[in-house]
Amino acid sequence: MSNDDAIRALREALAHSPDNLPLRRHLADSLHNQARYAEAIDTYKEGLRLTPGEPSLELGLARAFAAAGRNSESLALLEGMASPQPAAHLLRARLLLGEGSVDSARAAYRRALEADESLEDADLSARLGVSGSTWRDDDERERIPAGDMSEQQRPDKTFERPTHGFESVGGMDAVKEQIRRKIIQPLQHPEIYKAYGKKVGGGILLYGPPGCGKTHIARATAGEVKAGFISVGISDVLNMWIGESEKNLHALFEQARDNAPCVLFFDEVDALGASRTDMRQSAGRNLINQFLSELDGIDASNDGLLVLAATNAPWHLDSAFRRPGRFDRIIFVPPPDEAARAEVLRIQLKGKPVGDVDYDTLAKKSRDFSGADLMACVNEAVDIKLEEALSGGVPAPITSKELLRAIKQHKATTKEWFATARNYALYSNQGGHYDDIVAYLKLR
Amino acid sequence: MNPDLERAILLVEQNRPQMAVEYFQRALGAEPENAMAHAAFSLCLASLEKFDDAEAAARQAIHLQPDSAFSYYALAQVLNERHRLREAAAAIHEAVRLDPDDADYWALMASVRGQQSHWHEALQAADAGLQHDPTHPGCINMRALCLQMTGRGAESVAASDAALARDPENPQSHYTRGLALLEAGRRHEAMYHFKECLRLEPNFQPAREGIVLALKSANPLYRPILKASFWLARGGAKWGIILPIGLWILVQVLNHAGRSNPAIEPYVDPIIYSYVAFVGLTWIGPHVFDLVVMLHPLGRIALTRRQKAAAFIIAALAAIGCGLVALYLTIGGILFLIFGVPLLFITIPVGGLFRAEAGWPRKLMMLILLVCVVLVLTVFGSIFTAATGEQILGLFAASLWACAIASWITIFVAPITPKR
Repeated sequence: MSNDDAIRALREALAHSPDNLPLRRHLADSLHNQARYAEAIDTYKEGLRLTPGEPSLELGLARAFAAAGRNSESLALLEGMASPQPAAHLLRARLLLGEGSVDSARAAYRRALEADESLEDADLSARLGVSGSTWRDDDERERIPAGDMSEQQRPDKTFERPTHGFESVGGMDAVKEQIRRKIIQPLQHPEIYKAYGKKVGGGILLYGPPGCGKTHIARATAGEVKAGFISVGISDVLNMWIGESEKNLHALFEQARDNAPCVLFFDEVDALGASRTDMRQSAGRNLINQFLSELDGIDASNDGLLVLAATNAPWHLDSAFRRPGRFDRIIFVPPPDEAARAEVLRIQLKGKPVGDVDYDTLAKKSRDFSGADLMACVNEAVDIKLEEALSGGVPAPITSKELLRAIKQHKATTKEWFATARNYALYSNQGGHYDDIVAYLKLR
Repeated sequence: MNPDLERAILLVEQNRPQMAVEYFQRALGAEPENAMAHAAFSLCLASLEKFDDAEAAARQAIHLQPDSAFSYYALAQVLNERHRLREAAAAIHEAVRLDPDDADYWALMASVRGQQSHWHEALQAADAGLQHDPTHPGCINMRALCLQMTGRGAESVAASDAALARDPENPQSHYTRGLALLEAGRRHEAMYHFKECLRLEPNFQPAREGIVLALKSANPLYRPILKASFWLARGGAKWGIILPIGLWILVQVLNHAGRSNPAIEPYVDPIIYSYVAFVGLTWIGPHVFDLVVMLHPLGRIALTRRQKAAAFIIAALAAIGCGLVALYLTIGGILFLIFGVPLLFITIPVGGLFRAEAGWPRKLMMLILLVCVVLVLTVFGSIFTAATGEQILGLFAASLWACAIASWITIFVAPITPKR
């Protein structure tokens, strides 16, 4: 019997027994095996219409989507699965790797192997630097197990040892100086601080317009003091709100304490400690309380643990966060000044073919631009040159001309932030929290 | 609930609508027929001012689940933000019909009816919402505002007092109380509440305007204008149109009657001068008083750049115009009059431009101002050319008429908030 005949027979059988799930799955699998992906997709979908949420059909559909090159649909389906099978994690890992999300791919692959070691794929392991029982170190990152925490409590966070310090940060001299004074010196001379009965560590809040290098300087701070670095992003925080929040948060702090000296960095911390009155879920308050008690080091010593946090919206932060011993040191990270912009452009153009570039003029013309804005301009200039090279056939270096054109077309994204910040500095600065903004905007 | 949808809603609650979009899209990819997700997505899109997409999402939610009050609420919210008040009122009416127990819906209905100047209906909606949730902040504040706008100032103060006793950190309650106190002439107390409102919510623009009004009301000359503006606001946009037209007709009738009836002739001129003074004060006054407010440190930061620019330009034009007319009256010289009067009149379309809302009303006023400026410059230019006296006077009259017509157009255009 040919393949076509087999498919035809299966279809006829299914016509007589449309509710037969194994038969429908078999038909869909057969279509998939014959690379008839569009038909396979339709068959899986029909099956899912009849039995919504059936894991084997969902996995089959995700595979068919992936085989048909419809990766985003496949990923969306896999991410939405209620109880994904190990094979689903494996497929997800492959798709994520294909998208360049190495960390997420590694995490998915790990879940697949933890559930079923037989799924180990030598090629995938090599590409992800992973094996069934151990996780390989690479040049930049070193993964350390999170103490003796149980599997459920273990945070899925990557522990880094940043190799670059402040030299990798363009400009921002005033911010670096503040961090040196408030963070680095206490960590480098803990005995002096202890002699005066002062704890080493604590919390520092970095705030300012988006894209001005808060995350970068936090990582560089860890590099500068040769400490470890754990970064917690907005998606991790969202998971805490929705999942087993307090335990995860505690496990994260434990991981950092175990690896002291360590910088634990919370990006967009206002998502964790929002002061919104619309926070109706009691779970939200519990999460904030847990975070505060971790900061206070009630159940464990926070010596050598430095909690850095960044926010674009300090005004949304619960006031309890700012009490002494918590985020009582607040540093404003402004957009880069003229010299810093020139420096940032030099760093961003490093390694690219550069011709005659007048950094000082570019810096002058890019007033109020954030580091991210400058990056966007560099990318735009690269695109212009690429287009010219493709149409003319002769690659030419980037010059001031293209960069100026890009700067002219780009609008500084910091302006919107300052429009809001100005109002807070003018009307809601009773505690002097926004004096730096007042000074920066010359409001007095 | 779909975890992506849960994340999306959490992000919207945390003022991160931009980040929520991706999660909404994922959630809708997995559950394309989830009406609640479409409705919530529409609210997210509306906060990003993507109104076409927001409206489409809300309508899709209604299409999927026509008996869902939340879907109609989302549509009403989107239409409200698009300033399509009549349609918004119909949608929120349907939401309330489907689920009369949700105070959020009643609060939105009160807000929409209030914006339509139907204050009594707005008050009824706020009261209905409070029957279901006596602590609902939106309904409490709308009730206080409605009481004030229906002339029940004392009750309004009492209502906002009660609201503040329950939640002293509610910026809207401070604002409403400030407004009621300002109308009652208690400007110092009003100022305190406007400041409190801004401390709690620094981006709340109406409170900044409240501060400006409170500062202006320190001037006895401004108080009648403020009283009149409160009175006009109660009547809605229609009074802003009826009053100037009515007064103009009255003046024309008096003028005509004065000529034929010697008994009332002595009263005609004072009445006409009073009318001109009133028109001048209502057109130029608020801007000139803004200039006075700028002397106050708080006034300098509360006024917007646009208000400051309007104050400077109009005051400068008015001052030069008045100076030239004064020179004509004291030392004579028709040229002073020909230069001075158009400068005074041009303040009208300039004021109109600053009063008009962004969008087509402002573009229209810009065009009208341009015509007036060209005419006035032609008058000035004609003096230095070989134009005859008659021609100059003809242009002079044309420029003044253009400015006067601009004032009438402004009366109709200024209250309009263009649809988005």
